[in-house]
Amino acid sequence: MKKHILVVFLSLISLGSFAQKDKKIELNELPQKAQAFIKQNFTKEKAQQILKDTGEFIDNGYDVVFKNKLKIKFDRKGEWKEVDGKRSPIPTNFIPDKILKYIQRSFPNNKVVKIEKENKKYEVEITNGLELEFDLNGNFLKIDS
Amino acid sequence: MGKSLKNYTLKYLVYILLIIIAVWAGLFYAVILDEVYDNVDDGLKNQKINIIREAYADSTLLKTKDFGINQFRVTPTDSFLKENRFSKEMIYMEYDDEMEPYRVLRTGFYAPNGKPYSLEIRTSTVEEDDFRINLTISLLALYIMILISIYMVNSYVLTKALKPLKSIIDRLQSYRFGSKQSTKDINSEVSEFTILHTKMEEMIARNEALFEQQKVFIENASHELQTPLAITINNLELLLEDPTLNEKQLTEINETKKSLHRMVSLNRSLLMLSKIENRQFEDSSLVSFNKVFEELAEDLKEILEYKSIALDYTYSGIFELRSNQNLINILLSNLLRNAIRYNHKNGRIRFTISNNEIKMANTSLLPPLNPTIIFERFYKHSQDKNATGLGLSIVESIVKTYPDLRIEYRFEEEMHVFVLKKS
Repeated sequence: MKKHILVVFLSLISLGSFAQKDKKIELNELPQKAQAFIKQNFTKEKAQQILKDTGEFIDNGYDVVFKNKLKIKFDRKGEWKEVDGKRSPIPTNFIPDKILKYIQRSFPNNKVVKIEKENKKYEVEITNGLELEFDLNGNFLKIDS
Repeated sequence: MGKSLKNYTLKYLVYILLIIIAVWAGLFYAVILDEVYDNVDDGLKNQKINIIREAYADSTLLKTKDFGINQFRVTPTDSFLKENRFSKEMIYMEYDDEMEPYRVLRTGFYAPNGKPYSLEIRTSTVEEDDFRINLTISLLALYIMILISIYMVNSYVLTKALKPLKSIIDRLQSYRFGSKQSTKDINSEVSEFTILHTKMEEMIARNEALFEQQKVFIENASHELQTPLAITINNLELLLEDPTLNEKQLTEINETKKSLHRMVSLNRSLLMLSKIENRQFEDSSLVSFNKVFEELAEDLKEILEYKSIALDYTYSGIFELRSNQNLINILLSNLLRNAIRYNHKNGRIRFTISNNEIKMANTSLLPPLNPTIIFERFYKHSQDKNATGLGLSIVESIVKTYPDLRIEYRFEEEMHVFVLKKS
């Protein structure tokens, strides 16, 4: 989020340009890693729109939006940053087992609807709206309420 | 008289402590409340998780429309805040029939069917008013207790610590110049007092030594002057017998001789003063002032007659004092001679003696004298050329020699009055 603000800020102060431009691209224009991630985990869904965030100076990453509104964010190297099911359960193959087990045990009947990967932790939102935090090894940290 | 050192610091402590405690109370209050709310909020957040989890296991929970014994309620909603909102509300409590403060958490969640519900959870919390009042009362008590204990410790410790200072002050207050006193040692652990004491003793000793030297010097000087003065006067007498001298020269020599005589008497007086102050008239006996005076009056009878001064002598008792006969003689003689010298023709001297008081009053041409300076050395009335200015100083010195004796001067009924008192 901070990065966005920074980019917006930088764009605003650079003459002639008022906002970052999102450039539409094709699936095969994504970094290899991102393409593989999508192929591996999102076989059923069809990508509807792929945008490349291009700041004036910085390549920011990619947003992939699917037909069922699911949205994946990649960084510019193609590493996934966020998978947001827009309140619908998302595929969980890429999520560490420990996290899934924890959710199953502590919140039965709940599914992952959104996951965010940050520098040192995962932030996972489940069906009931709670946000859980895990470290990168999948150990439970706290409920971010 | 200023504040004693003991209470000096207390004056400042009263204010500083009040400020410190007030500031501290504010901070303490804020921190405690923050901690309390933090704890209460944590509890509410945890309850939220439990409720949401329970709602998935038991959907009847979603129908909790009112705050019951559970202290939460769930209501279907269109939009809700996903984050937690805390607030403080006053809610009626049956227990003590009063509005009591509650901490309320407003949040929301999604039901298993995906519908949003808002969730409110509440719990009773600390009553800030009561808390503030209690805190204030207990801090006031603390403040007073601290002040009292500081005062008590101050009094005790300072009284103990300042004891040497008190003895030093007492010593200084009772100190009279030229009167030697035995010095008491102070036993103090406080080095400042020990230094103060030793320095003070040194200073007194130095002063006394100087004073002693000065007295000895005056005595010696007067003594040494006597012989040359006597020789000079002798020589002048011889010179006066020289027949070759004319009238004018004889007058000059006579004037010189008179001045020299004055010098001799001045010198004698100085020597007398020194001797009195050096306590060289130590031997004493019970002296009757009546008797001394009667002898004096007899001696001075001719002068009194010559000046036509009436001496009025009455006594209602015997004034007696253990003292030196010679000194008392000088004392009364000086007073009486003064009374004669400054009297006018057909004047009067009234001398009254009782057991404890001698009163001598005389008429005079002189205006009332200033009682504060008449006993000073070389004080004399400006018109007077022949006086040494030492007569009353000698009187005072003699009086001072005897601690029981007092002298005072006053002007009453157009007469100069000197009163000697035994105390």
